Amino acid sequence: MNIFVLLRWLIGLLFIVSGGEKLIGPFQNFLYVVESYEAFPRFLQEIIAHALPWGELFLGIFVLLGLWTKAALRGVLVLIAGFVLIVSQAIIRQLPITECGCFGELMSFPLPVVLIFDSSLFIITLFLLRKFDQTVRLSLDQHFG
Amino acid sequence: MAKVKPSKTSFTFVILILCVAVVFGVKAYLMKGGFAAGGGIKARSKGNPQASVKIIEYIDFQCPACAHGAAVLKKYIENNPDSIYLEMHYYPLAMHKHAVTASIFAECAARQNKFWPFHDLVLEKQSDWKGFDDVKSAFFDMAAQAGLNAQQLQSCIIDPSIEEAVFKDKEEGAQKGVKSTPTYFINGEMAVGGRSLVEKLNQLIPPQNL
Repeated sequence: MNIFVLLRWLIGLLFIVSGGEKLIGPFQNFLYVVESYEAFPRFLQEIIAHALPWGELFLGIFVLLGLWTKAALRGVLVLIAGFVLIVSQAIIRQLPITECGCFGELMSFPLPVVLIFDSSLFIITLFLLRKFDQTVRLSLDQHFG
Repeated sequence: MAKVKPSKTSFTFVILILCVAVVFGVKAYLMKGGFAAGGGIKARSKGNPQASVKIIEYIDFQCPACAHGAAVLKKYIENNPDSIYLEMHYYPLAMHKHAVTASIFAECAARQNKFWPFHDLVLEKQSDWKGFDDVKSAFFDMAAQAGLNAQQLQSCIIDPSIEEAVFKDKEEGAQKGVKSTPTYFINGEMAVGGRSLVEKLNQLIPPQNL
């Protein structure tokens, strides 16, 4: 056990909770969140609202179990980079996102806090990829060889 | 007999299938309650009860998107008085400090059959009062404008059963999957936010009536 494995589990769990929470609730709630960022045309908003939670859940499970770890971590990195871009454009455009209640009650953080959080996750994931030999310990990838 | 070790790919498929099964299982379990409409809230409903378009709205009076949605909905109802039926439910979000108070005043207005005039005033003037530290005097002023009896209102807003009714609405909403506001159930189908509301109404109401 090392810090890299712990961080890998943490990121995996975070993605599982994030994706799972969106998937078990009505899809319209997350569509409203995607809509509030005003970054995509309508048809893409619907595709994202349907597909992203599954992506988060699968990536989270793969990262947690250490299955296809490198590819899953790269996927996580791409997703987080996307989140950072979307949140940044919302901050620059001063979209009234925290005011609209789009995140329901549990997530009413101001956008700059979300940006700091996402950026930290991005750096941690990058770090895990750089130290991949240690990150991949206690994983199914090791078991399958 | 030699043990057959599953391949990484087949193991991955099993994991993916399990995930999908768990998600749909949990979702089905949580949604078992259904999307039935609440009853006994005549004072908070308007339109033709036999209308082809039945809307149940979950509102937070301090939410800007709710104010915008209300203006849109008002226009649709004015243009189609017989085809839309609207039923209002409270969903005060914890992030809005005056949302519960606004809902309590609105429920008291409903008990004097003045819900809609009060609802319209509170939402129209939302940007005026939402920054106040104490909103009660602003709500009393709007209640007076809406024609409420001040004495009855005074005793109503301190009645604990009113707050209970507000939170009962909110709890029912949460059970139906409501998380943010405004959330609409249009003929039982969920739509969150003004844009989805307009899309859905445009599908259900002939364009010449918009």
